[in-house]
Amino acid sequence: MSQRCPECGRSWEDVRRTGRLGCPSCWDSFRSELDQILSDVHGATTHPQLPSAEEQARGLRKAAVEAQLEAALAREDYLEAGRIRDLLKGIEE
Amino acid sequence: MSVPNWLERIGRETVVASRVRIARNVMGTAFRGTVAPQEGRRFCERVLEALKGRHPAFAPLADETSENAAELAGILRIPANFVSGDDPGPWLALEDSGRGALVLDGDHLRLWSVRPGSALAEALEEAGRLEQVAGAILPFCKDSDRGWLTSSPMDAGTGMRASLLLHLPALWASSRMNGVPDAMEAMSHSLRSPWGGSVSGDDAGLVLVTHHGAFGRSEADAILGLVRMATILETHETQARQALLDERAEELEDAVSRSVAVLASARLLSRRELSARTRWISLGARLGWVDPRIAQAAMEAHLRTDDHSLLSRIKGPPEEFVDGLERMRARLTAPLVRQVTGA
Repeated sequence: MSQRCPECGRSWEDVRRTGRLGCPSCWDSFRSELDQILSDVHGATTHPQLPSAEEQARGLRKAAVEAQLEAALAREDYLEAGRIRDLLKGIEE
Repeated sequence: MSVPNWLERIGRETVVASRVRIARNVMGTAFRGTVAPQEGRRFCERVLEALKGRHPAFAPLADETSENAAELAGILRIPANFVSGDDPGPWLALEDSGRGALVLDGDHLRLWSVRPGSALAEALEEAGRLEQVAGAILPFCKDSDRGWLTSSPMDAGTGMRASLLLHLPALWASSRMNGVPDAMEAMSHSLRSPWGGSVSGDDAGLVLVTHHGAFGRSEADAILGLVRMATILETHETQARQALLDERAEELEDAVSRSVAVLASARLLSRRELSARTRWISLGARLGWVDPRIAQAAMEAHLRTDDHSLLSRIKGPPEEFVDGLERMRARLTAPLVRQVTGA
């Protein structure tokens, strides 16, 4: 008989059949099996520690606005550059 | 019935909408697969009660029996079974069609944001804000090695699924769409129908591009990859539009004019015909030949008449509704198009 998750009672066979884990504890109960799947599908078994989604999004927006600022300065459009700089300040705040 | 906020991009832009969805689970509670319906319902009530009033997107609450919930589910392309009374979910906490939380959809919470146009960073920021608010009240499962724990190993890590809704009428009209989904797949992205399944010529030129899993890399990486894919598709769409103009200008002009006239006068319209006419009109709008509002009216009619399960709930028994669908589609389209053209 295959191993079962002590929290929800789901077996690894159940997980394979449905593609779904039964509860958060299944992630510990089937650690080695899941490592294999994560490695096959994602090419990694660990996920890096990252800033929050909100912080990453702000970083993306900031990078896009900085690129706009650079382009405006390159074409010597200082009026537009000033407007973009204000926008940048808003994101940073 | 309201229409999605991205509709005004039709006939004007290639990237019409950006969507970010973040899956989160509450510690100490089983996922949907092992939960009994009553238990699921109690859990949903508890979660929504906790979130109520904490953020504008989490109110008002709509239960699964209300017509409002069915409408919103349709706009958001939530599968029909989520609005079935036999199911423990869904419980929708929505303010508008652009953001909200769907509870007990495989994972305990899916927090999402939909923004018009190319705005993935803004959508991620909004979804992240919803996560911060919900996470301050509910203890979410996070593992130091696996990131956010989800019911499916495919969604683990970031728990994020981001997608872009693109309108590619020229690629479809010029038969250049063949091979594009495989090419996207080779670059670790999926191109699908916005209504699920494979891309289809009957979707009025709309396609959805999504990244493959987001485990082992950041949300920002996945989003940058998606933006790159959209840029590639946009370039191909522009080239296809130019090729049609260079090689088949008269045919193209005829198809656009004919489509406007048909939509303003038809008495019966199949989904396939409405889809094809919408594509031609959108192309005409991109070329400056017709008012983009005509393309938007055609797309609105397409969106409003594409979902049998949703419409049957609103209009009556499915068989009765399906029989009259072609007539209903034409009745909806003609006034919308005539209103814009002034005919």
